[in-house]
This record gives sequence, structure tokens and C-alpha cells, in this order.
Amino acid sequence: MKKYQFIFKMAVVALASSSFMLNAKISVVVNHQAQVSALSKTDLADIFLEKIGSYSSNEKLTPVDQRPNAVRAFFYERVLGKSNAEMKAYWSREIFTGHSYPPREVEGDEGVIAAVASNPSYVGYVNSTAADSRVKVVASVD
Amino acid sequence: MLINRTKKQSLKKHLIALGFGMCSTALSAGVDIDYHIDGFLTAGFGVLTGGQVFAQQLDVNTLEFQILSGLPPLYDTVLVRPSIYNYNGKIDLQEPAILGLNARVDINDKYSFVLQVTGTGNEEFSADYEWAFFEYRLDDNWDFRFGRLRIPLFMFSDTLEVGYTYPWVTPPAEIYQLVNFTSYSGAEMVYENNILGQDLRASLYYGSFAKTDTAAGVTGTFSVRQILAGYINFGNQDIQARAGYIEALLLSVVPTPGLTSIIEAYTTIYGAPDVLPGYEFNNARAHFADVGITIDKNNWLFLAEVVQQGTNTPQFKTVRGWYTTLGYSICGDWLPYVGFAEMKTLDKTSRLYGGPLGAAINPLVSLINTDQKTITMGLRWDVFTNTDFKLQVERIDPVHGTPGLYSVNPHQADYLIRGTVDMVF
Repeated sequence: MKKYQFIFKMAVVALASSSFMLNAKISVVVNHQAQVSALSKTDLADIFLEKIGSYSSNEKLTPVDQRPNAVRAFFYERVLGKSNAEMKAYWSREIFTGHSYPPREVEGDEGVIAAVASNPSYVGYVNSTAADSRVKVVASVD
Repeated sequence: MLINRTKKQSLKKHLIALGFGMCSTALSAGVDIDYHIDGFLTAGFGVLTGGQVFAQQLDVNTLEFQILSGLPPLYDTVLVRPSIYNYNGKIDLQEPAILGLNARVDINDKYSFVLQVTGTGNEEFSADYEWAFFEYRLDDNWDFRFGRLRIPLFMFSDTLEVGYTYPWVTPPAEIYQLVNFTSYSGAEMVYENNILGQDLRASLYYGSFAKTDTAAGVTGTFSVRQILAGYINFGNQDIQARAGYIEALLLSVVPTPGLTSIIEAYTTIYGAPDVLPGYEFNNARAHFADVGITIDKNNWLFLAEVVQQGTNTPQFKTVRGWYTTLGYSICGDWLPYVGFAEMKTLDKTSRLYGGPLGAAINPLVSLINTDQKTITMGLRWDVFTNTDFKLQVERIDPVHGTPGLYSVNPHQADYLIRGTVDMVF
């Protein structure tokens, strides 16, 4: 019986994730003090992989990740075309060669908004319905 | 494998010491110091169905044979990497096991210290310091590293023990078993930038490596000095190209003076493919050239790499190894893949000796030829975000009359079956 309960729970999680994937729209948010007004997908890829991109010459932005969840999976799938596992493999390679570390993680949309609102250099992503006046939206991902 | 045990202690002790060291460093210096501790783990099984021994510690076994028999060409195999490919006809749970811990302390934005300790099952988890370096970041583009560093010889060399970072159980032996030194002491300069919209990482490094082995009661030292090397990675998250080159000076000293004089006299009278400086080979220049590509786009994964290794002495063979792998990601978590790899000795005939003893010596000279072809099929399943399970079957076929990477020539293809779980934490 426990086995079936586990399968049922997994199915609910999978259904919720796929439902999010179908309807989701994500907003990329920065602090109101940040100079940036718009970021392209390429900019986002460079920033969240901590690469030296064309945007980094204008203003230093520090990425903030959500702890693994459907929003995060959607963001990386749409911006980089990579799954959570592929991103983990990428960062493992960077970590274990001493090159760089993944962005700091916070809990969910509220965690990102609180972090970004308190630090002028932070950039994060949230479910579009969660973005509010505490942060500035600079890109949409859908 | 005979290791200089005086330099090794239990991995557990190192991990505990490392943990305490990190905590006390952070506490004593206040909250400004940022530190990270990460680890990796591999466990699994492997079996060679035919029962022959695949690359069983060729370096020490052959070094021992060389010392006893006094055959200089067999020095060549001290270059062969032992470690993770030691399989035979029994199911082996110890061989694939790897445990590692990586610690990084960021003293401030400019200065960091990185330490990585690795233990493998075939060495009873005795600790190896793969990385122990101090890093200075001049700016966003330039990094300087000093200390013990991993040699980024080939595409996956610097994360060879971190199974989670590549699709196979281990990277193809036809390239990754060419060399048995994985770290060096020295300095590295790394340059990173965005050029033409692509990521560029270039590295230039210089240093040395030394290893002492004891076999049959005789201790010999193998060292690689004046390692001057560099590589360039260019591309983006979908396509990455890489090219690398290494020049190094090989030195080895094994005390066999009597045999040295005999072989020198023989060489003087009858000639050899090249001047033999004796059993203590010195100033042998080795080079490795490497080109590779990774394409990871639209669920497809394509990997290819070719390496050529050579030296300016007949004591070492010239080898070319290459592989290609194609995989397709299903639902982001399942990656079935197929691959082909080949290793070929390029100077089989030019290394042979002339003179009346040539007929006796040349079969032994030819022993170090390692030609083989491998067909690989495998599946990687990302069970969780930080854990994968891999199952891989390889058909390893020694060719051209050589044993390939088998320590005993099976004269037929054999199957290596391995399954592992890789974890990063």
C-alpha cells in the first residue's frame, strides 16, 4: 500500500511540474537601484553560468538561484536548454576543478524577491505572478 | 600497486582534519572568509567476462619485469595509468570505488585556497592530494594558481575521478590510460574572456612531477620535469572545442649499472633505432597533443577526442588514441549512448633493434605495443539531481598481435561490464 502511495505522490509532483511547464511565465528581477533595464537570453546565460558576457562590462550582477523546484527547472530549460541534472554536472565540473561555484540558493519566489530587494547587485528569477513592487522586472521567460 | 606509503595516510583522517581545519580557519578569521566543502563518490562493480586481466597495474608489474630482465624498452609502460581499469574475471566491487572531498576557502575576492583529497578502492582509500593550490585573481580575466595542481592533459583529465561529470563509467582507456601522472607541482595562468560571443578559457602551466616505486626490492624514481603546457577551450554551452599541447622532460633512475653497460656496449657495436643513454633514461622529451569537441544540443550529446603521444627515444612508443561517443537524452534524465575508441602504436617497426640479438630482443620490444579497439554501449540515468546510475558494456578487442591494454594477451575480444553509482554532495 505504501508503495502505491509513493507512486501516487510522485505522480502528483510530476503533474504539478508539467502543469507549471505548460502555463509558466518567469520574470527575471533585479534591485530598483540596478542600472539595467533589460536582459537578453544570452545575457542571462552568461550571468547564471558566471561567464564573462557582454553585459558584465556594464554592470556586475550576481545571480541568485531558487533551490531545486519547478521554477528553476523551467528557467534553465528555457534559457540554457539544460535539465537540472545537466546543470548539476556542469557545476560539478567547475567546482571540482576549482574554477567557479554555482549561484547562492534561496527558497522559492519569496526568497528571491527578498534577496534581490536587499542587494543592488543581485539578479534572480520568479514565477511572474509573484513579482511585485519590491523588485524591477528586466526580462520574461516563457 | 606499490605506492610510497609513507606519503599516504587514511582518507578518513584527512577528511576529518580537513573539516576541522576549515571550521577553525573560518571561525578564527571571522565571518568574512567564505568556504565551500563539496564531495564526490563512486561505487559499483565491474567484471571482465573472459577472465583475462585488463590493464592490471601495468606500470609496476612491467617495471618489476624490466628491472629483473634489464630490458629498457619496457620502461615505456611506467607511463601507463593504472588505477581504475584493473579488472579480471571476478566481479569486483572495490575497483570502481572512489571517494573525494574538495574544499575551497575564499580569503577575499582576490585570494583563495583549494584542497582536494581523493581515495580509491584499489588503494584502500589512502589519500592522494590531487589539488592543493593557492589562487590569485588579478581581475575577471586572469587567474594565477600555485601549488599542486591537476594536469589538464585531456578533455576530462581534471575531473577523472568525478564520475558524475561525464557520461561513461570512466572516460575511454584508449586516451585516459596513456599517462599515469595526474598532478604536478608548479604554477598555472588561466585567462577567461568572451570573444565573438563565445567563451574562451586558455591556460598555460609549468611544473614537475615525481613518483617513487619499489619493485623486487629495487626502488626506482620516475619523474617528469619541465612540464610546459597549455590548452584552449572555446565555445558556448552547446558546443565546446578544445586543443592542448604538452612538452615535458622524462627522467628515471633505476639502479642497474651492470646491465646498463651491457646494453650500451651492444648499442655501440650493433646500433639501435636511436641512441640509448642506458637504463637511466634522461632528457627524453615527451609530448602530448590533444584535440577534442563536445556538442550538447537538442538532447543530442556528441563527444570526440584524439591524442597523440610521442617521445624522442625508442624506450617509449608513439601512440595515437581517439574516441567518439554519441548519446541522446530522454526526458533530461536518461542518456543511452554508444561509442567507439581505438589506440594504435605508430612506430612498431622503427623501434626494432638490429644486430644478432635483435631477433631475441625485438619480440620483447614489441610487447609494449598496445593496439586495441573498443565498442561501448551504455546508459546513464540521473536518479536524483546529484546522483546517477550508469551501466556500461565494452567489447575490447586487442589487435595487430598486441595485447592492447590487457596484461595478458587474450588473443580475442573480451567484454568489460561495469555498473556504478556516482554522487556529488
